[in-house]
Amino acid sequence: MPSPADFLASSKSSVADERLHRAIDTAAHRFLDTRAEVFAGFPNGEALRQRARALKEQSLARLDECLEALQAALEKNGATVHWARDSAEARRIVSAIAAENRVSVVVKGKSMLAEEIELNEALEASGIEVVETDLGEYVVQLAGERPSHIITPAIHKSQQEIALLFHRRLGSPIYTQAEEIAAEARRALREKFLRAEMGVTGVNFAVAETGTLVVIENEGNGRMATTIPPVYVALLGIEKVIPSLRDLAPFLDLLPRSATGQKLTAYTSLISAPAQLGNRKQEMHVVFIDNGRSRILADPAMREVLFCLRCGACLNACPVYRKVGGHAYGYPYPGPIGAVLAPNLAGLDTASDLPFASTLCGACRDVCPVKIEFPTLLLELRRRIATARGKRSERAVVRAWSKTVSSPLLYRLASRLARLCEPALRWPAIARRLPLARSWYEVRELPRLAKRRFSERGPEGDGRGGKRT
Amino acid sequence: MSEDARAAILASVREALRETKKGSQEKQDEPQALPTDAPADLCGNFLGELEALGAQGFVVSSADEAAGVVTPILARNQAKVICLGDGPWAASLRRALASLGTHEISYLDPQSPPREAAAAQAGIVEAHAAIAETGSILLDTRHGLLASLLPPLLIAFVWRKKIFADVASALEEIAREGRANGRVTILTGPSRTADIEKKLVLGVHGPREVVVLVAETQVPGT
Repeated sequence: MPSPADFLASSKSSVADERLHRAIDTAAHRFLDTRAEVFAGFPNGEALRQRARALKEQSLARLDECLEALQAALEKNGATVHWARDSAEARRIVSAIAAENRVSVVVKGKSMLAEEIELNEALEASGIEVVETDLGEYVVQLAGERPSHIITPAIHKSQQEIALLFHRRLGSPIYTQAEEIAAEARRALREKFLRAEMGVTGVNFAVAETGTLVVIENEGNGRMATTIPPVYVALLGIEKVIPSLRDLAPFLDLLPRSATGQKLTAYTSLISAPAQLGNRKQEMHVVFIDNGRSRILADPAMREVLFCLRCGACLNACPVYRKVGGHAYGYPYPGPIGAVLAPNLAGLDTASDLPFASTLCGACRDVCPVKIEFPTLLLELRRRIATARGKRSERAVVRAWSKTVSSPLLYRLASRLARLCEPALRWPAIARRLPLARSWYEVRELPRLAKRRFSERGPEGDGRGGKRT
Repeated sequence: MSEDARAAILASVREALRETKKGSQEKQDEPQALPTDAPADLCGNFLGELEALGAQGFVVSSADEAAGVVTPILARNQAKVICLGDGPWAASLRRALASLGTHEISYLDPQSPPREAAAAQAGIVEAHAAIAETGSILLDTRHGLLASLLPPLLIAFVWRKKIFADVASALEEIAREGRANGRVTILTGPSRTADIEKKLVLGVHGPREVVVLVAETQVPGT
């Protein structure tokens, strides 16, 4: 499991990077605008969000039955099902399938779960060439980076940077048009698709009743990766199961609209059986991956994290994400969803910064297709982190503050004291030496105290109190 | 090993749901159908959506008419090799194109190996349904899916009566026709990406050009 980095440290450079802000801001606002537009012409949108949320809740309530039914249906259709408790087990399973089939090239569709279990590294360690085939993901792979957005992995890169990257890595001319770059990728990747012995993708939804995996994408790379290679491996997070095909409709209505502002993406593949090409019968494997999900299921306060459709809308809406970018989160899932997923999947102690990387403004909840209550979840995580690892000094300060403000006498004394100390506190050399205050002062200035205390002022304009200045 | 993992995961899921299951025995309310205004003109809406997607749509009532529509498109794409799917309309179009005889075309079976199919400049297939609201066509791709995937130009027939209003009714049709245990692709316009500075580029891996021929009849008249 990738461990989320120290958010404060890693966000410092991106906060100062204005080029990055512009790139992300432009893209994120375009996402938000197209989303708003498509929802405006979609009168059932609000009711559908409510229904999708209820459907997720009901599906998870019978997750065990759904998983068993899904396995039975998939096996009946000719696929092989594997179960993985954690990422190490999932990596072992996929590596073993690759080894059995003497695989040398793997083509991958975009999969957040593959990032989560760090599959590429494992396959590469056994000498396999792993090729990302989503254009943005391919760019990020060529650059030796990680995706910084769930939907647009190379959101942080300008066209010019990508053109130079292609020039350096693929020897192509320095293109000036996005079309030329995409055409170069098409040529390079077409060859990989035809050569690869194995395709790997994630899964957006799985329908238990019919054994159908739903793969949603725009480029056609997902369709290629699931059909052309003789071996296809699907990575399925166990929370993605829904009972029946009719339950799928509201999700297909909501996910593309929330993610890219489209009514549907170019390709929605319903995959229930191996792909047949001529006489070749494809080998199809589905890996059911838990990796912390059943633990979240057992936590009533956190369960709704599992409703997430991975649409990325909360990233676009988040003022913090737009300022720091995806890499600062140090985790495959950035933004608000990362801030609630990381502590739950990777553990409170490794991701203790992320729940604090939020203004709690709730813009994420307002665009979420399944109405995840992000602010409530973030506050609960903060509470747990503070209880588990709050510094004794911090707790003492908060306790003292709480005592002071609840006692009129202490409060009056304290505000007098503050007035006395104010000039000293303004002196940076002194202020920065104060315990706990240092990091506060680094990025802020102390606001000036009013000339008169509130209690000394009467209602405005009554002749007794001072006028507001 | 996988058996152990299966048992362990199912056990922890059941343990996690113990309280939930106890509490939610009675309530499992059926969601009410949301109001949908049935569009009067499904075909018109469908054609409009296709255009918005950057695809083209035509209504045809005979194979000759279809040949007349696609001939200039094939010529513009310099299509000499066509990957041809199964179905009466596809077969009739091939005959009609041959009788026009404007240029030499060779045909590939969609079951051909991917490397051969990848050399085709166009694919012709029959969709089994369409969705008016989204401009999508539904392709049963259990067999011979390469025709709709590898060539840069896709020409697809769909019977006018099989245009459904929305995604929900199309999914019902998939279930009704028993296609849900195979492979179905809901294809909505040309392959596209906006991964570079959110600029829209068509034809990344799949077809760049999509032409849908709405057929007035299920099979072409003779």
